[in-house]
Amino acid sequence: MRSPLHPVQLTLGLIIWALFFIVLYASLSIACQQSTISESTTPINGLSVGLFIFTLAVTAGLLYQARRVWRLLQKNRHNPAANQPTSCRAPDEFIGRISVAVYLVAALACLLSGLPAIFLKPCI
Amino acid sequence: MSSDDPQAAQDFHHQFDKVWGNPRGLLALTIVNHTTIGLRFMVTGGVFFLIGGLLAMLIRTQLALPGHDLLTPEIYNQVFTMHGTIMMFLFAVPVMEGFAIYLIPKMIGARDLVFPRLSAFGYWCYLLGGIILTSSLVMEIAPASGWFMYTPLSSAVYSPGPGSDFWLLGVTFVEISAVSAGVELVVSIMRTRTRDMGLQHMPLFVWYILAMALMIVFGFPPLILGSILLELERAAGMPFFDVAGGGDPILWQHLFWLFGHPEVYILFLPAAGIISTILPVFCRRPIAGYRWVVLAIITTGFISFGLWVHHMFTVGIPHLAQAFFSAASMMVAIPTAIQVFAWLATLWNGRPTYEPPMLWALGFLFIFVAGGLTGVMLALVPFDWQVHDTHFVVAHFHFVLVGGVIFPLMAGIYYWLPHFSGRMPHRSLARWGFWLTFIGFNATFIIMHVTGLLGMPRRIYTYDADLGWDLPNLISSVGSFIMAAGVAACLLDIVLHFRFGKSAERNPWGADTLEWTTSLPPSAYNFATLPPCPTRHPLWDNPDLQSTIEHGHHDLATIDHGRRETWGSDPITGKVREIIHLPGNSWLPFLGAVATAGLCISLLSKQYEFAVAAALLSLTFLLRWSWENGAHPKAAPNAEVVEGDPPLHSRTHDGPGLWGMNVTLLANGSLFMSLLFGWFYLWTVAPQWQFPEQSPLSANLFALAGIPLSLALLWFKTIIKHLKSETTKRLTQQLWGISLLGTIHLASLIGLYVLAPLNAQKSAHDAVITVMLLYQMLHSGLAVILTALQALRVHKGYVGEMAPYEPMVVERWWVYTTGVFWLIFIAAIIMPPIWNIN
Amino acid sequence: MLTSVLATGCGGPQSALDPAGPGAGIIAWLWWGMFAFFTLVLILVTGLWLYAMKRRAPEPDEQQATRLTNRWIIGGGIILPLLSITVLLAAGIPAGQYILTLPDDKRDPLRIDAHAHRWWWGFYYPESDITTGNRLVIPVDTPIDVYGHTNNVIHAFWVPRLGGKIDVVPGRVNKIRLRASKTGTLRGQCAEFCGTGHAHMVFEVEVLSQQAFKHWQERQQLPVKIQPQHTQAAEAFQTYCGDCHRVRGVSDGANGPDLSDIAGRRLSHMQSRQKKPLSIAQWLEKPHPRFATEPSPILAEINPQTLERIATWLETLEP
Repeated sequence: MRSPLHPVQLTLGLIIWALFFIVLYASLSIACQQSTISESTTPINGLSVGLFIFTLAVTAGLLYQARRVWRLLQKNRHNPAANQPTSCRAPDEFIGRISVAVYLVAALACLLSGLPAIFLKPCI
Repeated sequence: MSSDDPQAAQDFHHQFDKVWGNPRGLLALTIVNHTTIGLRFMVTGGVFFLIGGLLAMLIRTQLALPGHDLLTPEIYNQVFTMHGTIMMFLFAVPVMEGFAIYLIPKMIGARDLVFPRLSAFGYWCYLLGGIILTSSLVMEIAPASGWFMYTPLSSAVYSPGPGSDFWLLGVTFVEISAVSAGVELVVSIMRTRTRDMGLQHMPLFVWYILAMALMIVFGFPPLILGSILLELERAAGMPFFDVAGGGDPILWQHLFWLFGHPEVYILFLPAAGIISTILPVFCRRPIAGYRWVVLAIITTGFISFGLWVHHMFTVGIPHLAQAFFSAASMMVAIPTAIQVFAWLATLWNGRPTYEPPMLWALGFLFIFVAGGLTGVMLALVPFDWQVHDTHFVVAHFHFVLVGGVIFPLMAGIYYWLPHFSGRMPHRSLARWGFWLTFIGFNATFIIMHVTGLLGMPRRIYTYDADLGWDLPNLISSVGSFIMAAGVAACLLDIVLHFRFGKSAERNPWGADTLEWTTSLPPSAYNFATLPPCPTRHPLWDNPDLQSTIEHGHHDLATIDHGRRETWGSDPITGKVREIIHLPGNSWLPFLGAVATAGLCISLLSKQYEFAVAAALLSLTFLLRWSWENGAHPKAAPNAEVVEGDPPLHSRTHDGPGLWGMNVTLLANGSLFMSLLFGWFYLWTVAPQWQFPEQSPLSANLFALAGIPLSLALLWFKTIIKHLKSETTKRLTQQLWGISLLGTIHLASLIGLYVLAPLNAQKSAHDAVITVMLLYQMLHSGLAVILTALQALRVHKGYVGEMAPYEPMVVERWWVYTTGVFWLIFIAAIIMPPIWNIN
Repeated sequence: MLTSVLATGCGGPQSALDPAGPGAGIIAWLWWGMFAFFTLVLILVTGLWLYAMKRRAPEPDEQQATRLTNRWIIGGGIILPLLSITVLLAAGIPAGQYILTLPDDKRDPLRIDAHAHRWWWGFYYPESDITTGNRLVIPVDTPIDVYGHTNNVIHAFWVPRLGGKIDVVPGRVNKIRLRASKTGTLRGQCAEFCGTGHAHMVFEVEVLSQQAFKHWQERQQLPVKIQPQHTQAAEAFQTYCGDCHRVRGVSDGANGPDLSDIAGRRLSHMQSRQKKPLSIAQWLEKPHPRFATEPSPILAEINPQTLERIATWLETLEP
């Protein structure tokens, strides 16, 4: 976790997506149990805006993470630490590149799953 | 030892065989070797496949004509329920696990899986559970509520017979086997890869199995929990799913599909792994886009957990929530498409040949892509409202499961047949088998989409003549018999090949992965010496690998110590860290499974005194199993290793057991999270949920019971610190002290439970609290027992500074137990008065 | 084979491809659109695969191979599915929203309560206090809200030619909005497996012109007409069957379906290999052996003559 090239990075992006998805679904379900929200008839209300902002925030966070890992990977590639032979860096390179892709996929997944929030009345 | 003299090589193998070889006769029940266990899983799964297939034939015969009365509705309901249950739980999952158990060590250059006794235990649980479940069919008391057992139909009121109990107990029993295989595969892949096989060198099949195993670890516990709750409702009247008592039948659907959807990918991933292994071999070049495929595997593993509600689009949840799941369901098409196009690019770049495995791979592609596309259609909410629970869905999931699981499986069986038997399959019979199956399958299921669109619901045992369903059903039935003929031809081919197949030369397909360096069929220890593997294609890079392995040119070449050894390596780089010594053959897994089967049967027949006895017996066997570890005379009393080799794992601070415990706790945590989910779900959603006026548990007393527990944990942690810095004193006494603290905690917890005015049969609230308390007591009790056993082991000299590793494993359990305790405290005691809105 | 089936058409009283209302109509369109597009995709992928197996081009060098791989994966594995699902969601989500509300600002929807029993449907019209059994009568071009109730297991209310299905779950009341756009007789069926009688949990849907619906509603307020020769039969019915079955003006039982309009109906639970519906008398003579409770066990106690009279009378109960 400490290093951006730790293997946990391989899954962290999608773990964040999973948590995001749970919060999205849970907050909608619980909010729709409250009559004040569920009876509101406008397509866009506090709940949908809230969910959408939440979606954008998480997506942005994931994109930032992708960029961070990518940067670090570049840095590693250009100045190989003197005490590290190439064979030791190979897993880093591998993990780093897949991690970046996982963050990007997770960002896309967040955006796609949260996008319907602003198009639909939340509780019908 | 290292010699090129054939006589010396033979002696060398003879010595290895003495340590690793399988006994015959009755003693075959003690075998723990992964090759044998893997084959047993596959053969047993094959038998269940035939049973499930016969049931399918009955279904198709019944539906061939309108108003057909071959089967009564009661029997028909049992038949389709058992068809689904057998195919999913007793065929598909175990066979995939069998493949993985057989292949993984060979692919990663290990001599066995890391917990051999667990593989054996898992097999016996599967076999006995499968027999119990299937026996209900013979007695005509099989479950009849459909393979997803929706309550209230499966509850005691509407299914009063023992059918549902057979399902719940039998399936749970089989799932224990699946989870144990999952844990074992994860740890084996992470920790026992041969020297220098970094993450980036793992064969793709290993990546697929790693994902599958982790998905089992997280995906099966929700159903295990659901089954326990439903069984408690049926047997003890706790109303988890009963509206009148404050429960909700929809909770079952959530728990079931939280398992059920990942399950589909648990089956598909290894199947896709087979394709990704075979294609490059027959194209004579590496897979196109290795990293893309790894990305696709990881993505599939996660996203498939976010789809479960698409099985519930008609239960009346808000449209927006359906839209979230609709989007997630469609997204899973992306990683699948990445794999399909990676395969296409591999074919495009290479020089493919039409061997039987490739034929099945081609069949897979057509059927699976078609099934995937109808899957995307079903993810579209309005379309799903229309075709949900019709034959369209039946057709869809048979496309996905037969196309996505059975076809790749057949490809894999044909590909690895020479490995299993040392003989080659017969080409023309194999072709007949393929084409009959392929044509029969499509005739059965393409038309079934139309049947569904014409409005035929699933699970009806008959239909009227004037609805336009006659012809499509007849075609489906005829097709199914053609398919059965195809399966029979394949079976015949496979059976005959064991007798008549011409014997296979080494590496007959010219493959690149390590499993083809073993002899055909393989010896029990796979590799006489363990080769380094700093590459994705060891056999392509070094075609001589087979002979250098056999002639003892690689690692761990000594066997005179009598230990079964394999490398323990770094999970990322594959650098060697320690020697893992593995246990030998043992009766304990078999006896443990038999005792557990006894528990299962006594619960089925409601003989609860016997159940308690069987549970204690099985616990005894399992504890005895844990006793024969580390420096125990039956394990590794002598820790000497060849100079220059790393130490034995039981003499280090980190070993596979620690990883095994961690992964087990992940599975356990998934179960507990499902329980917490159930609690919050019922609290917020169940129509008649009610909190009692006053909580049955006093917050102060409950917190008080947590104090000795937390103290015990802290104490344990200091012991570990001292063990690591080798400054321990009075280890035995300290461990006894911790057990004592744990006992005080347990006693106060039991007191609290006994005195609390809980009425678990009246209210879902009390029922959930009861289950939480029982769960906590079970964990606290085990913590006490395990720690006491550690104290005894220190006393015996099996554990101590020289072998410090077991207390670290037990410490994980304390951490988990304490964590669960305080989570229960927060969720069940602190939160309700604060957030209770009603 | 496929063509022969397609030739018989997409019709049928329960066919989702023969819509009789806007909800089912939109879904049918979605289906045909997806069917056309996905068939193309399937042909494309399978064709590529077959061609790749066949073609014998010189083996590409590493760089060419990597370029090709990346292009294919990004093009076929990412862009193609991403575009497809974006289009699908953009069409599907609004379509779902439309179907859920079927906006019609002219009239308030007509409320009908559907009660799912094991194994029959009771319908209740709260505005006009009308009850029917296994028969749903609705006016054309009017939004209908069907509320599903059950106190036993989960069922699903489904009239494929009008729209999707909705589960009927104990403890909750789910609602589905439907609208029929032409008159005629449709068929509905329980779609969620509910036990032994699941296959027989069928109901008839009669779409009437608005005028005819009004007449029907008025007729439902009156007792059934009993011709003098049937008075005895009606009394026997009241004695033996009335505790469970309702016939307007004769009996008030509610444990089984209302029989006030049973005449000419296709009866469930029959051996249905022949195309012609059985008469009530034939049916009562040889009730389905598998249903202990249906028809009611009391049948055995009635003498055959009386039973025949009851059947003859029931045949006169026109809707």
